[in-house]
Amino acid sequence: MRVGDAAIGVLVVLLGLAVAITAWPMPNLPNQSYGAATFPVAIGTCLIGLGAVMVITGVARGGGFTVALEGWGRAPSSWLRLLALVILIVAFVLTAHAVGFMVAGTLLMFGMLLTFRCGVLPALLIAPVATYAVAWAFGNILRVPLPRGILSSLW
Amino acid sequence: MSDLSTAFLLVADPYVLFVIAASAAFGLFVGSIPGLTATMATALLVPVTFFMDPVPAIAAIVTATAMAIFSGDIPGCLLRIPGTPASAAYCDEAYAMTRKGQAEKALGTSLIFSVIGGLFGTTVLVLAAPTLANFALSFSSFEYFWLVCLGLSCAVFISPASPMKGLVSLFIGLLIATVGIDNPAGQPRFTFGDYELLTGVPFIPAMIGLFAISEVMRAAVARSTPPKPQAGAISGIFSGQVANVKRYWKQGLRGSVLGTAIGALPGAGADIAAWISYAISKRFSKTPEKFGTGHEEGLAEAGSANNGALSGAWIPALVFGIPGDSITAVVIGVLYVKGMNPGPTIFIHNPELIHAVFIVFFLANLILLPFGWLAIKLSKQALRVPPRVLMPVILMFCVVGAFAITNSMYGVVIALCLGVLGFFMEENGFPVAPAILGLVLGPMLEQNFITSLIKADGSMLAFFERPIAGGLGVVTIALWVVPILFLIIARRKRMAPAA
Repeated sequence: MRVGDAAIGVLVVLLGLAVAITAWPMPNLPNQSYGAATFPVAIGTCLIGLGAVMVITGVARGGGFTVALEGWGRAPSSWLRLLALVILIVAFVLTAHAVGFMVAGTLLMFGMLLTFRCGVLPALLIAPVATYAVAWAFGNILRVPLPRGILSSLW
Repeated sequence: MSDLSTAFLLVADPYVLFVIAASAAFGLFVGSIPGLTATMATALLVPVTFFMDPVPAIAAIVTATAMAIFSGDIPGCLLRIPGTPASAAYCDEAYAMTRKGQAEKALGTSLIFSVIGGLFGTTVLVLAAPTLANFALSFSSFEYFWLVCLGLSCAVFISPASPMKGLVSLFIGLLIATVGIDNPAGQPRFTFGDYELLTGVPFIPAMIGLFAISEVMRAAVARSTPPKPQAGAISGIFSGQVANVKRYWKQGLRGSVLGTAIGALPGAGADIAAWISYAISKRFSKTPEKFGTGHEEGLAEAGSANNGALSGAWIPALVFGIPGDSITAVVIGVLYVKGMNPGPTIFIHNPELIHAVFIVFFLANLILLPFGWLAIKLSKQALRVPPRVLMPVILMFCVVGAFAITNSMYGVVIALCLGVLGFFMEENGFPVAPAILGLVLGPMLEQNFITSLIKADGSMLAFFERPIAGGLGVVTIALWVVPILFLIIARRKRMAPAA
């Protein structure tokens, strides 16, 4: 998916404005004219300038505000897989503490395997084994405090 | 006991040797899978190195990256798909050799010259870094300010994408670096009331997101399935290689020198070194017509250049704390975590660790020969691992790795957000490397900028008063002004005949 340069330029200008406006009131160092605002305001200003140049060059070249769906972007299934990937990670983040790593991780792995077009049966086998291996390596050997939850006695 | 012998003892530890062997296998595997880069190998290794002492942690990264850069040549040669971007420059050449039935010759040349380039780059690193560090001891905030500016400018201009998009990417990285309370005034910035954002955007989950999760996303949306390897059984990898080294010693040397020099430039890495070296090899070849038809000359030069660049990138990283490429950007984060603050004083405070790093570099490049041979032999098996299983496993490692850094879901959220950002940036031609450099160098740039402003009482002239700072300042400004001048002159020349 390719977004036109001018459209991205507008987003960059808006980002720069938001950064500069948010940073402007931040206090200076005692008895100095510089402080927490100096650097972000400079970044915001540069982003505004860069965005403006992108808008101008994008409009001059033509098609600056278009959104072109090329390659994978034309296939709805690709979009669905991308969305599934994000949703699966968000679901893992939201549920891992409640149900524990073993359950949330297995579900994440199972969903991921299906997203990558693995068969249901192999996915049912691979997901718990791979999750257990990761939980054992990180939780046991590297002592990462993975969310315990249910089935925590397994590793 | 001298620093050198202490360093030898540190490296000779069985645990360190085990880590080197394991990370060699890991690097070879990751590099040989198309789409998985050496930087991704580093990003995936970091959460594991987090729990190691400094020497095994650095050894793991050095070894894995050296192996990954070489093994990226294997799918390039057998499938015409470069395993890493550093192998893309001569992928067609290597594949043409495979089609002529010379896969073993191509891979052998690639392996031998990778070792030569790596050893040359390491020698330069060992000789140049301490000398430069002595010199850098007299640097003040003015010199560091300009050095960082020079590094960031190089990252933008050397990037193959348009400089405008490179600049936007750089400023996004700098912006992300401003989040948190760690700034000259100790004031919370862009935290939106979230206490976890007070600590800033953790660097390693950000790297995992930008490099690894975005790559998994790319694999998820890809519609094509990878082709099967073309070559038959590969044997006799080393046969005729002595004659090859004798024939192409000049090309190997030129590639090593150029690769190391390009690697040492902040922002330029092994991929750019390989492209430039391949072009130079063709330009100065006695038989340029053979290039593209399956000729090993370009392979020898570019193969040594990309491994030389890996070592070269460590020079600015260790001496100034300015990464030479995206891999050393990750390494700098690891060095800070390990209490080995990069900069000239590291050579005074931790000489034994620095010597150990040098020894590891030599060791990693030497064991590339047997491990590389093994990787070539096992390449067909590695290439058969289906992406539909590999990618979910990698994503699981990304999620747990990001969690391990912050011990909370905050790391996972950061990795996901930056993964999505990195994916859409690359989709629209925005290079990710400048953003990474901005993220790493942002705090250093701000600190030196504000300190210099306070010292100079707001006078910008003071930024040019010290000779080295002045020189660096002029070079940095010239880097920006000269291309614009050339552009104006070229436009005037084009308009003159029309008028």
